[in-house]
Parts: sequence; structure tokens; C-alpha cells
Amino acid sequence: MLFGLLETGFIYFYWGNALMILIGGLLIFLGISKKMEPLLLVPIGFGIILVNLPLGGLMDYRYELTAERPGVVQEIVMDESTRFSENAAILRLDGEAVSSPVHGRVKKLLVEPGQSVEAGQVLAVITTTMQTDQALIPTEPEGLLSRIFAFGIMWHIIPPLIFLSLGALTDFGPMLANPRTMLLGAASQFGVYFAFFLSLFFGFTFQEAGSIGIIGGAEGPTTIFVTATLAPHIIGATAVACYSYMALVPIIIPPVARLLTTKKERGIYMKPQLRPVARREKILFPLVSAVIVILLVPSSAPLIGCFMVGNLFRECGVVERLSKTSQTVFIDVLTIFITLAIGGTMAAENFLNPATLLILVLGVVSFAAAAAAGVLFAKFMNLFLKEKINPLIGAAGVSAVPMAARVVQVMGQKENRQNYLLMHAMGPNVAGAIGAAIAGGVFIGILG
Amino acid sequence: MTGFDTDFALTIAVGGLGVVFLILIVLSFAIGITRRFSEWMDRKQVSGNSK
Repeated sequence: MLFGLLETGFIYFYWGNALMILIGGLLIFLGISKKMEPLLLVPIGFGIILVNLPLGGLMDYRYELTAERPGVVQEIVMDESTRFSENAAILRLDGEAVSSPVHGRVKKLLVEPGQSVEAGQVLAVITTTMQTDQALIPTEPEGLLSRIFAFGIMWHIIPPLIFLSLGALTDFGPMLANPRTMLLGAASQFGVYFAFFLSLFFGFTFQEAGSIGIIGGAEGPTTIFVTATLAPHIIGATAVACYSYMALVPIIIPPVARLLTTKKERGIYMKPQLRPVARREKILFPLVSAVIVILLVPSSAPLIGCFMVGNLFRECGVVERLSKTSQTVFIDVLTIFITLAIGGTMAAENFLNPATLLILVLGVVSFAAAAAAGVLFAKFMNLFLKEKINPLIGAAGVSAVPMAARVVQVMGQKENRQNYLLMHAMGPNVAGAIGAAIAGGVFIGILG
Repeated sequence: MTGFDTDFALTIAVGGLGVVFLILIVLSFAIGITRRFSEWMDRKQVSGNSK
């Protein structure tokens, strides 16, 4: 009796929702059982499940369908609550179909057959989960997650603040001790541009290609920031690709690095001790680098500026409370917001299409190409260096701090038990994070 | 596969990678300069203390 009065989600539930719930469950399983990036995959997985339960409304946006010209409503094609796909006709106005540019369902019809309407009059209110370009198709967030997504991510607030926390967690010491390893972080950005080109070949737009390419930068906030600016409709796929592949770094990097190096090269010994870096240097670096990078690539200011202010909190030694908060509670709160909202973008009707699969494939290509470029550039540098560097540390230029550096350490120890590459690999590792933010800034500067 | 403006794409890719390299090279020089500055300050402090 009660269910006769209530509108349940079952009537709108379809195989796509079931598949997405399975995918969400898989991410939660990987996070809990396999310990793969649990802080990210568990909330993203749960966000996916929540948004695929119809009528929950957590990721709903309100779209107002308006009349482009005056006329008389002849026929209502879609009844209230009927689910429809993108560009479906909602009603007929003087014999012409009025279509919805978004998929979803009609929440409320505001006209009836025979009624005259003015140009610009709202004909129907539509509920959708689609991320749209707000300049072309303005929508208003109505759900908990869509509000977090719109005001936290689309307004570019959460990703830069996560960068602030990452800055507070980053020790630039190894990079400052051996600045030439920064070149390896730069070389790894080749993967970003390689995937960018590949994406264009597969028919993606320039904006989409830039968002897919940046997955190879292996920085979640950078990927989300760039995609939110350039191609918000694919943000679920790029974010999940980036975070999943960061978790899969121990699987992606070793075969690429082994393929491009000989056993002898992998065994190259590097002295474990790096030169001590003075506190003054560590304090000056975030200030100097923020000024240089932002003057050269102004569109990277939100990411680089926040990254460096967070690092200054850490290094200056007089704002311990700010540093500690940034490293702990602050990043945890932001992570909860961003991961649930990203999971929320993956409603079945947004996510299940061939383009998503292609983005996932291009993402892994981007990661592998980034690692390969770092290794090859390290070998190139060895042609000119007296004291050779182990080319494995080039693979850490892919960023994914500090997982990539740990993988390099394990690989190096397998070949030569005397070798402790971790600190050497941290140099290109953090340089890769800066390089990815710059590459993202370049994309936004040109394509945004 | 579809056609796209190859020249524009190449400009973004080569130019973008070039900018990343340029900035990180400039930063590595800046690190060298701050190191020299820091060492100079240390020497100055030591000589000031010994007077």
C-alpha cells in the first residue's frame, strides 16, 4: 500500500545502474582487500553506488527547457517522470520538436497542449545528472554531491586546496640537493603530450585531449582541475583513470623500466647520501619557484601558488599548527568532498559509453609513456655525466608521489642490494608534480 | 580517427613540453643561486661571530 503512494527507485533502475554499482563495489573491494589507494577508492566507489540509485537525487542538476521562439504547444511527447536520452524531443511547438540538450527526466511540465508561449518562456523543468558546459547549457545543482561538485570542483576551490596540503606534505630536500634530477620530472611530461596527440587521433576535441593527456601527470588534483576547466563532461573518467593508475604504479612502471634498461644499467650504484640542504634554502625555494613559475605560466597560479604556500608552512617552522592541519585534517576533509563528488559524476548514463573505455586506455598509455620518457632521458643524461645516474629514477618522474619513488627503490634493490635509490628518486618524483601542474597550466592557458 | 589541426596540436605539444623544461631548468638555476646565497650568509654569520 505504502509503495503505491511512494515513487520508488526500482521503476527507473536499469542494467547500467547495476553495472555501475558492481564497478563501485569493485573499487571498494580493491581499496579494502588489496589496500589500493583506499583513501580514494573507497569513497569514490561508494559515491558511484549512491549516484546509481535512481531518485536519490544526490547528483541532480535542474535544467530549464525554454522556448526559443513564440508559438503554440501542439503535443507533449515526454510525460513527467519519463526517462529520456540526450537530444530527445520533449514537446512539439508549431509542429517543430523542442529537444532537451541533456539526458534525464521531466520533473515538471509547465505548459499544456494548445497553450501559447512566448520566446524565452520556461516549458519544462528537467532533472539531469549530466555535467554540462555552463556557458552553453546552464544548470543548477540540486543534490548534495552536485552542489559539492559545482561549488567545490567547478569553482576550482577543492583541487588547489588539496595541492596546498600536498605542498605541506612534500619535502623538496632531495630535489634541492640534486637539482639536475628535475630534468627527469620535465622529461616525464612527454607522456602527457603523447596521450594528448593520441586522443586527438581518436577524435577527441582539443579540450578533451588536454584533459586526457594530463592523466599522465599522475596528480589527481591537477587532472581534476584541468578537466573541470576544459572538459567537465569527462571528469569522472579522467579522475578515476588517474587515481586508479596511481594505485597501479607498482604494476605499470616495472615492465616499462625493465624493457628500456639493461640489467647493468639497473644496477648502477648511487651514493645513498645526498648533500645536506640548509633550512634557508628550503624556505626560499617555495617563494622563488612560485614567483618564477607563475610569472611564466600565470594559469598555473592556483595549483603552484597553493602548492608552494603549503610547502612554506612546512618549512618555515613558525606556523606548525597550519602545517600540521594542512597535512592531516584539512586534506582528509577535502579528500572526502572530492572523492564522493567524483564518484557522483559516474551515473550510468554519463559513464557507460565507448569514449570512457577509450579514455581509460589512453590514460594508461599516458602513464606508461611518462615513465618511459623519464627512463630514456636518464639514459641520455648519462651520456654526459661523469658520475652516472641509475636510469630507474627517471621512471619516478611520473609523479604519483611517493609511490613511484618506492617502486624504483624496490626495483633498484633487486638488481643491486647496496643501492638505496629512494631519496634519489624523490627528486624527479616531486619535480614531476611541479611539471604536471605547469603542463596543466599550459593546457588551460591555451585551450581554456 | 578524425582530422584535426596538426599544426596547432604540434604547437601545444612541443611548446608545452618546452615550457615545462624551460621552467624546471630555470628553477634548477634558481636553486643553485639560493644555495650560493645561503652559503654566503652562513660564511658571513661565522665571520661575524668570530669578530
